[in-house]
Amino acid sequence: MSGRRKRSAGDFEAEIRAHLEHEADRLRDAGVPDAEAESMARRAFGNVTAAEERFYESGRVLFLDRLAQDTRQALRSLARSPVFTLAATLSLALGIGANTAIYSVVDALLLRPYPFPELERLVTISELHPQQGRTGVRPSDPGYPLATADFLDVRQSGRSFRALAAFRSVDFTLVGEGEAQRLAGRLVSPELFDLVGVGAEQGRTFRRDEAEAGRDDVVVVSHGFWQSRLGATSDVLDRSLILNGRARRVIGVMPEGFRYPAGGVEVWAPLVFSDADKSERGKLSVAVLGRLAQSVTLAQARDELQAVGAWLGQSYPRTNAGRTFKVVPLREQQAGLTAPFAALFQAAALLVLLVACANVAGVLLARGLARRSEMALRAALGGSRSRLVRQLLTESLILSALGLALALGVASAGVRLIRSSVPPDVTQWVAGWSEIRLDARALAVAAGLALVTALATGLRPALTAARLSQSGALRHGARGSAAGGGHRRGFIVVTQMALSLVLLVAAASMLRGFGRLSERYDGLEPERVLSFHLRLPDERYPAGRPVADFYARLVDEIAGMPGVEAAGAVAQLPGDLGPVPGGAVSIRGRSVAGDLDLPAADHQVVTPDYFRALRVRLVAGRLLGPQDGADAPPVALVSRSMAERLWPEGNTLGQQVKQGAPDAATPWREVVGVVEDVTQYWFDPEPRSTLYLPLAQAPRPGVFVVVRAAGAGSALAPAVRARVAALDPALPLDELRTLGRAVDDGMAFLRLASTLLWVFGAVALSLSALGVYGVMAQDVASRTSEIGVRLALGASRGQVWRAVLGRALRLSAVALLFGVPAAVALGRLLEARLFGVARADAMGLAVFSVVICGAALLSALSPAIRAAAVDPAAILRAE
Amino acid sequence: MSTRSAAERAGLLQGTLDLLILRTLGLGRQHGQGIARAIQEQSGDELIVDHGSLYPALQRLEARGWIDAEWGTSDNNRRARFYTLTRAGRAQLAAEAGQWRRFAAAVARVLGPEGAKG
Repeated sequence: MSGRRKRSAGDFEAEIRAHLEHEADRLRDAGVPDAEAESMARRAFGNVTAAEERFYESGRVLFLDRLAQDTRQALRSLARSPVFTLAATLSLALGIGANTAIYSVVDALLLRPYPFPELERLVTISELHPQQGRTGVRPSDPGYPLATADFLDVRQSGRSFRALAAFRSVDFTLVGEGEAQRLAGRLVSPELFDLVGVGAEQGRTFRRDEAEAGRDDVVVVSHGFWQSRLGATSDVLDRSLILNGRARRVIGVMPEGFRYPAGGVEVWAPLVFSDADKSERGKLSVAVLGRLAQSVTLAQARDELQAVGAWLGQSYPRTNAGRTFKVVPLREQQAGLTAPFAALFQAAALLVLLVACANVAGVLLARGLARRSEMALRAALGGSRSRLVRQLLTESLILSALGLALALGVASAGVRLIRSSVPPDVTQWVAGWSEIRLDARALAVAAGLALVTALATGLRPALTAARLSQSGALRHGARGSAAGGGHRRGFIVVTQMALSLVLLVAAASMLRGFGRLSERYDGLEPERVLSFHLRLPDERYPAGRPVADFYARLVDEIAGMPGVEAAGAVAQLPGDLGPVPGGAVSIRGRSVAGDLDLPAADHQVVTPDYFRALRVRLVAGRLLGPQDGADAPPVALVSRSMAERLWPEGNTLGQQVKQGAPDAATPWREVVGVVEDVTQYWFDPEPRSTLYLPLAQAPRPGVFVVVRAAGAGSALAPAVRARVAALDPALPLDELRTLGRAVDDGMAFLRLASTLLWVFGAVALSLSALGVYGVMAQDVASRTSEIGVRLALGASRGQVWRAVLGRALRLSAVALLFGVPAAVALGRLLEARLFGVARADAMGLAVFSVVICGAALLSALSPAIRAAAVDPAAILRAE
Repeated sequence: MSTRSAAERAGLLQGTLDLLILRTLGLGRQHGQGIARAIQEQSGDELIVDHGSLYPALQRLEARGWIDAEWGTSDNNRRARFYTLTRAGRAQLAAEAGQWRRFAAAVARVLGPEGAKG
């Protein structure tokens, strides 16, 4: 019946009406009176309804009609048992919703972090040092940026790439648009925009010639910047912005959602290579992105750059010996840290879905058993087997649909929650974060799984019911024959409890690790420390003395405020996730084969009172003081770990060190003191080597100021802000918050991770408890008469109690038998994969084993009470 | 209009209705009532089409692609659903008519001339 349209019942009716009219016409022509003609025609036709019905049966109409009938019946039946419906629906909603939310996040972060065309052909290029292998840095670590001359060589000779672009970050201070503002910016090769395949929303992006000195007074701004800071005016193009004291013309606005190389970037300016840059091979300064040429594979590009690296190593042995290039697909670039977390959450969400499906299966199974007699009765009254099966399946389908609808809500709330739980100044570094949204594919997969569960478990009792000998089932009545299902349900409940245990223990180990990591900052009393970031604009504070003088005065004035114990400045605040300056360190009198063999350390720049402000203990020698001024002999402090690594014999004090290679232009400094280690990043596996330089001798325009308060740090915020404004009202003051808050923000992902695991664990536990309750309630209900007989034969109520609770305990014992080894194995895996974030935790295992048993007993309590309340006399009479 | 009762009329043999419909439509397009009337008239009122079977039969033939249908206006200005024979229907008519004639002739030979003893 290809292409033939189905006839509607209405059309058929119209045809029959036409027939009757024609017949009546004929009769009238033959002389029959009007009134009689119609009824005669009708009589002659015979049974109109019967004809219509035959038409009806022949089409699909009947199928739809039966479906509607089944649906109505299923809805009525579901409404009759609201507890069952609610339990099944909620289970499905939580299981599907959690999976959808988690997968949506994973998808945005790992699978399509950037919305660029042919994302898979974009690669990042970094440099690898032979050292990296030796110091045990994991292979998934991103390499270093490229030296500018190396980049130019790669661009010159690399045949594997359609285009290559370099970029580096830059802080811009914008004046003349209201309050002075610090903007995150990037200096980029003009090719960058073409390369990623995104053009300007208004105006244009850079031309090649704009990367030449003197022509680079142009900028492209972000959509957000245009909206919020330039008033979204239509005449934004050609507007002049004063950035770092230099006027630059706006030539383009990027579309909303363009976030490369990172979210939060508001201004892009051309990257100009000076003559010095063109021969610079020591300083690694530019990140590089490339697009593979047509039909070039990643492996080919890697081979080619390997060759280029070797050639550079031969041509410039002093700087480039042993250095190679690392080519990583852009999509995988950030997967290093995210991937194990993502795997953990996908697994956790999947476990929740399994527990939820098990619950639905259990509930449907119980319901199927309870309805055996109903089914048998209907079969006896002439309901066809296929019809009964279809009706039960309809119920399962409706349950799944309800669950799915609720799951949509759960998933979107979950996605919102996850998005809002990490502060924007952390997420701006996470590509794809702002693109996280509900993922339809994830929803489809999770819903499919739930549907299969519901159908499979719904089908079984349906088939059983249809097969049952009708009279037999009727005779047995409502009671009896639950034993077979009891076994299956027991198995399901045991699985649920074991899975819950695994989830809870995983959550506990995360919490342990989390607690241990945040304890690293407790010594700093972070709630009592207020911090903020300042960057002095170059045009008013020329590099050098003016900067040093300003900061010396600023920390002095703040230290003199009431309620302040000490104030200092530091290049990069511990606990904040921003990059800490660092590099090679040379030691006078210690020769190395090449620059790359020099030890590396963080180069923190501090004012003398920084150590007092953060309560960093002096280990040996002295701290910095006002005597270490710009004209005084250059000095430095080292952290305890650095001292132990470089001078294991303990002769640290008095050593001469300098930043960079032995022949670098930096001064030799005497090590005058050793201070206790400070944890820079919460994920540091071990304390970092830190070299501290006095700000007066190594001034830098951008610092974090730290203020130790006598009380809560946050209380000082308004006064500190006013004091900075009194010194220079045009200074932008960023990230004003307590150190505690900074640490918290930095650990936001970890907190999110552990919260999610707790939620999953709690959901799984409550679903399992529901499962246990179901099993026990059904057990007691099906054995009421047996219990009655036992009581009549002299069993005590206590024995009945013990029997019911004992069964619950046996179930949880079996669950522990499987759950404990699984939880231990997962704990080991987490500890290995999440470097110190998770800690295998025997305590957690013990506690949650008890919790599982407790939940099982608690769920069995009300069935036990019911069992003990059975009246033996009533039961025996009924028999 | 016939005065004979329905009991006296010859019932249609199973399967012959389809053939009669196809034959009637072989003469030109017609609506349902017209088909029934034509069969009745051409059979000299011997064959009365049970209308309750007519429309399902039309439905069946249409589904098999032997006839097509579309709404149109009849001679006396009433709307009606008109049926026409398709190419496949014409072929089917030829085949079935031939079969029927052979069958009828064979039955006639077995029965012998009218009036002969049974």
